[in-house]
Amino acid sequence: MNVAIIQFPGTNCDMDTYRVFNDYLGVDATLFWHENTDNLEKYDAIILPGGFSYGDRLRAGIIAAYSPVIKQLKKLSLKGKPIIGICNGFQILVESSLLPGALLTNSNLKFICKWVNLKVEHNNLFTNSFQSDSVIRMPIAHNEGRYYVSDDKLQELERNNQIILRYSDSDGNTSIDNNPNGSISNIAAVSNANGNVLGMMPHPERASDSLLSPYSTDDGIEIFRSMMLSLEVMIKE
Amino acid sequence: MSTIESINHSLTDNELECIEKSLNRKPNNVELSMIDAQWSEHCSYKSSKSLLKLLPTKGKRVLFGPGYEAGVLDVDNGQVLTMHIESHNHPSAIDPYGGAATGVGGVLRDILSIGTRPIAVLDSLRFGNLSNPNNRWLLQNVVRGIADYGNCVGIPTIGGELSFDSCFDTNCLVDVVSIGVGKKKQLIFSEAKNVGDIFVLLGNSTGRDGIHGSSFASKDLEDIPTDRSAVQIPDPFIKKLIIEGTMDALNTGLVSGLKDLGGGGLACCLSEVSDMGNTGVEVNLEKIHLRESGMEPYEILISESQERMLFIINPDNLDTISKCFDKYNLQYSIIGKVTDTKHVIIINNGDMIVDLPTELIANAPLINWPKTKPKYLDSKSVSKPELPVDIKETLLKVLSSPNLADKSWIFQQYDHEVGTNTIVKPGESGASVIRIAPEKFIAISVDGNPSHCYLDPYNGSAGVVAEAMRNVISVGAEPIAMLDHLQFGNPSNSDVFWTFNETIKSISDFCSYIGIPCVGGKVSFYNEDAKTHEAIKPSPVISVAGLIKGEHNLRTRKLHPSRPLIVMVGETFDELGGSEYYSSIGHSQAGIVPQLNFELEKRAQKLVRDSIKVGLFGAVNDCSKGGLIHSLLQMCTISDMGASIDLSSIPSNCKRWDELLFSESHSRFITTIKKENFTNLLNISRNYDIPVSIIGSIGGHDLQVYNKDDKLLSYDLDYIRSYVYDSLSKFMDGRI
Amino acid sequence: MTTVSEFKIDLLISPKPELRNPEGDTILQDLLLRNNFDYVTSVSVSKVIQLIVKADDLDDAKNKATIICDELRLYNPLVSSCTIRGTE
Repeated sequence: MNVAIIQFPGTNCDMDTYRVFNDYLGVDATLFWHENTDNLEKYDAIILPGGFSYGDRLRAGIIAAYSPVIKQLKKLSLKGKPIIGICNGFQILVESSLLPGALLTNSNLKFICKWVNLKVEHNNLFTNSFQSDSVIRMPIAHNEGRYYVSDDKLQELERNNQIILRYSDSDGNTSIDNNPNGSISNIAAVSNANGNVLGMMPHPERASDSLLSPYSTDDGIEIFRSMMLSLEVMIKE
Repeated sequence: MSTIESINHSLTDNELECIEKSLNRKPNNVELSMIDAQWSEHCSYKSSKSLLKLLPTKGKRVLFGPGYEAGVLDVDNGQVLTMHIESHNHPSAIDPYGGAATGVGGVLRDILSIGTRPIAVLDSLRFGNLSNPNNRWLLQNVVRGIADYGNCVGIPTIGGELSFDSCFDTNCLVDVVSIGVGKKKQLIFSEAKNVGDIFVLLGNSTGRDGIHGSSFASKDLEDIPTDRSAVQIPDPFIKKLIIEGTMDALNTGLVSGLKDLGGGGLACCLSEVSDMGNTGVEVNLEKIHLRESGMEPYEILISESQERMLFIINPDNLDTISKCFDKYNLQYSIIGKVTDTKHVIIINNGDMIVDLPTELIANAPLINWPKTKPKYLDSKSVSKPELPVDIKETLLKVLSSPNLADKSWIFQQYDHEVGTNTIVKPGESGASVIRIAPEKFIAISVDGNPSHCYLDPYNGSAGVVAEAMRNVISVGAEPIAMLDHLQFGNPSNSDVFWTFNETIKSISDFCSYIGIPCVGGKVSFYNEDAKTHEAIKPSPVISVAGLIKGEHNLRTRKLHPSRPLIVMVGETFDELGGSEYYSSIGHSQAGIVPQLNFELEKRAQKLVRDSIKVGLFGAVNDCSKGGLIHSLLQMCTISDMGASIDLSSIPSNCKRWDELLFSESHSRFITTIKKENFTNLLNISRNYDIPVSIIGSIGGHDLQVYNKDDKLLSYDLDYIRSYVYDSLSKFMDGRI
Repeated sequence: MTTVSEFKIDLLISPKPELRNPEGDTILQDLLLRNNFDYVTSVSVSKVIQLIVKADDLDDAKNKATIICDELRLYNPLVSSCTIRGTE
């Protein structure tokens, strides 16, 4: 089992993500520089980690979206390759049209770093480890995390079970009070229609070690573990 | 050769005479600019160097101390910890966003240039009162600058401190601490030691930004240039690339020397590497990658364009090293070489335009300013205010000070989680903790107290060191080193220089006594009101690093039902001078400041360290600003658990409730313990001759204060959190 | 005829040309030149704040906008310049 962790100039959560796969999950992880022309197909999954690719200049994720490595990702996504975009990774997926919507400046116009509650809305390849409707905890850290789609598109996402995580309170209730950035419908993570591409603003790699959690939880690692377990099943089939 | 007739410089007649005498000729304009930059207060420490020698710098873990790019400590297993502090006071006063951001950039470069990767940042900020909109503008933009820079570069800002006083109205203080980790064998120094090595200038192109930046920091704000040249533009994206490119280059093992370009630009950088290496340097200006055409040689030499590093390498290794830079598309130019002349020689298109002995540039003549004890120190009042009528109202008034407020408005703008090693996060204790290896952690604090230092420079300054140490001890660490940043007014003011002298003496005395070495620091003078020339209150800021081995030794302020008894360690004295309490009731210029009893402090610190090691204490918090009541409430609000205390059981001779609650006496901690362990603690404490007493217990959701059976007050925690400790966010979100 | 009308005033806040513009530089190097749009030689990023101002005439509206800029520090004159443009 191996995963590729894509690095752009300015990516800074690559080592954190690498550590979770390599040290905690025992999965072969490769740091993949954006200019590397190797075929990504040999990897079982691709991760776009968080950070500030190209300093978030012009718009977060836009410059990285034009990278040749993203062209490869587009082809692989159509073939069903599991891809996770975390924070800046999510922004890159959205700017590349691998995921629908846009990620705008937080409604309070400031960077927000804090732990949040997330309701698991749908069990898929990335969230199968959780009981349905469970509430998990992870930190967010972003300036442009306000997810936006048109109303029509939002209805489509609901119908297709593409909304994977929502910001909520500790009981799983979603409201404006527990929406940290103004995201439409409290959306924190979405998948593509096929369910193999996940974009999420919260950082699962920062919630994979209970010593780092104010609640002594490690829900983050389950996102990656779900994916690896689902892959094992898929490979066997 | 420069054609400018007269160059702006700040050299005194005495200094000019000294230069001429040494050279046996008049220096030309370019040479004058270089010396002016290097001999500025900011770069040369000419007013403070002789006094700074008093600070103790040796310690069992100290590998390198003051005089190097950063302090270096051995933290076992071949690992080193580096630490450094920087400030950008003057730039932040006029461009708070750019000034604060480039302040972060500067301190990171120092950690990087000694060969270690920066792993955390802390900030220490001081502004005038928030009722003045200008101060809100400054705070907002300083925080945004620090946030944008630290977040983009991917280094967590894990803690800090913030306070307000009208003396900072026109002179805000913006200090940044950084720590780094690396391998002992990979340390590298800012020395041009091998003749024949070449200089590779990496990073941003050199432009006209920041010209006269270091002499700008060495003047009053009234003399600020009206043109834009004092402004420095931050670029954290290129910094991130420089960090990665530099670490890759260092990992080849082929770099001979490394130095960052900071105050005084290339001029200072070249003279310092030449001085450290005891060699000479020869640089060709036309080789330097420039941003603008038509720059004068002196402009190129003293430009403070950000994000530039000077690599010193054997020319045979150029190919390998340049590949590290090419990966990140970083610009670089080969600008010169190391010689054996012991001179700094600058050539411009074949013409030698500078030829100065390194020894001259690198050693500014020291200044011994006159000192006179300020009159106000002998005439200040020791009167006490009348006992307030209403304890409830008084408590709310004191705790509503933005100095004591919850700081999440600030630290939630800082990515404090990146790196997945921030174990004790902002707000969870008076120090932050970051993991550097499995089961190995570094605690780091930053503290200051201008109010105490103003009323009693000696006790106030030593007291800041004690507080910073107590904060590190409270997270379970053993203090191993400290940094000092000494911020004062104009040194030519004899009152100011006397106070500066007292401060250094007191810090030296205490650090020598308690055994904590100073491994680095900074001095920032000229912080005074441009029009009235009123100096800021003396503002030494101290940062202490501590080492923790073993997860089980970590502590925070968080309360837990398994340890329900609240224990006060240490005695509370009637010494409220400079306290938050006196300040909030308009009594700020009077009273006795908490006296630091060195011996008592040492015993109290050892008692708490030893008690944590044997597992006696649960939550631990030091008592300082705002008194024990604020310390207790910090523990309650972060845990969302109430507490009840009895004033009559607090070890003290104080008779008044306001003295008991709000005294800021040193050598005190609040801890929690299991009932069955108290006897054990009592026995241990007798060996240290430090009073310990059960003063209450946790429970419920209220803060309750009793005096024996009399209930003096009861407040719901939610009320305190939402209506009392929220004064900072109220001001900044415009709700006041 | 009323003497008070509304005017659309655009405040173009630009980085001073003599200062560095890291955002513009990154867009030029990493987006445009890297994707072969090599006929672009410079990029700089500005911000527009649009005000609808009640005033007697266009000049009055521009004056009012100038006062707002200066008093409320909508831009820092040390690092940016502000061009005021208006239409009826």
